[in-house]
Amino acid sequence: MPLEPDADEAALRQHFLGTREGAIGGGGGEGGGCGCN
Amino acid sequence: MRLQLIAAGALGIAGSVLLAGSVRADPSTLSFDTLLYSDTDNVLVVSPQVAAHRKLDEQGGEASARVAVDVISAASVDVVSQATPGFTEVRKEAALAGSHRIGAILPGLRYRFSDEPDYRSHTVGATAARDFADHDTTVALSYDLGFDTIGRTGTPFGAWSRHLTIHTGEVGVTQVVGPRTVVRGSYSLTVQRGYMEKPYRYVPLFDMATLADLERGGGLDADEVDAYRLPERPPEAVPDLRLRHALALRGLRYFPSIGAGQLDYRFYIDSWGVQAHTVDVALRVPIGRFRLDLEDRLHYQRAADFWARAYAVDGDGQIPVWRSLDRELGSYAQNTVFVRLQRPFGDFLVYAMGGTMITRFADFLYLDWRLALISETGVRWSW
Repeated sequence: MPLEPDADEAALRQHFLGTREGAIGGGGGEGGGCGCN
Repeated sequence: MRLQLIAAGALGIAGSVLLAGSVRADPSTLSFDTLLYSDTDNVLVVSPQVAAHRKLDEQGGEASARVAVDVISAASVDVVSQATPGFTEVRKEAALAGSHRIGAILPGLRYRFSDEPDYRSHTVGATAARDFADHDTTVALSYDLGFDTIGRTGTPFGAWSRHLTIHTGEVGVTQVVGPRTVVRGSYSLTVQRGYMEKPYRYVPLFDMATLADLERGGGLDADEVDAYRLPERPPEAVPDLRLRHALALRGLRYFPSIGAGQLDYRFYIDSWGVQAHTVDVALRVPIGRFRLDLEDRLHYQRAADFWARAYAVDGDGQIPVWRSLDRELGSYAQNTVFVRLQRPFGDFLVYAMGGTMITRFADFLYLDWRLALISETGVRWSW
């Protein structure tokens, strides 16, 4: 349920921020991991 | 008249409709994006992405596919502190999603695959959304299940690997509260069970008395680690179970004289003791054919219970059960500023974004602060 202007841009942003913040969730995006810290 | 339609018109400035469950105006969209990240800790990331969307019905159903690549070059302090000169690697990601309206419900399925030399991830998920109150209220549910395999670069997964299972559930409610205002609240729970260490991280240990002496003398610095640490350097060890809760709130309001303002707040807490507050403020201003976005994101978090700047061996020679060098488990504050400009050209929309991120690590042995520059460009073709 992304309340985002653009889902693709949000996905790229969420991936970028997700690897640099120790918190996850609340973004309406899919779960799943990567080792890209 | 339905409030959602009024709000969509008010908030749909410069071609962007900001409502949840909004329907794409054009049946098909192709997008290209590239994100560049560079920081003072010697990390450079280039992330190109291509995605396609095809509308399947007039009520939010669509099929989409996305492929992304991260090219990462890193010689960061946590890499070189492990006596590794640095590395360059490529991560590939592919995602598919589809949704189609069935009666009053919009169900969907999604799949995501991520692959890099030492990490492989499969995630499947299901979503469902339903509108109430003449479409002014939307309730959305999602569940994702991830299967991750962690390996070591240069070693086949069959020779050495560990596994991590990730369950993520989220419930969210979006409410149109007036012709110019939309709010959303969501709660998500992520349950991670399995291997969450980095196989390359080995944690320096110190004698308790030596560490106390160093603290009295002004503290231990990164360049003193090898001089004072004990010979033993055990691998990183963290619990195999992590429950992660996030409560997020978003408000979106259109101001006729300025544009659309957006305010996000997220509270996060997990079973390892990490607590975080994230605030994101954005303003989207139409200027003729352009739209200018200004955004500031502040993230603060408190360290995990077992986090320590330096780990000491106690008097009985016992090493700490849990020990980590993952700075994202420590305390830090991070502020990110974005400036973004977009403009439509017929069937195309082009945007460019630049940003800076500054991070102040409160208690990380190897790094006190980091400055990062970020840029992103993209184009959308809709037909």
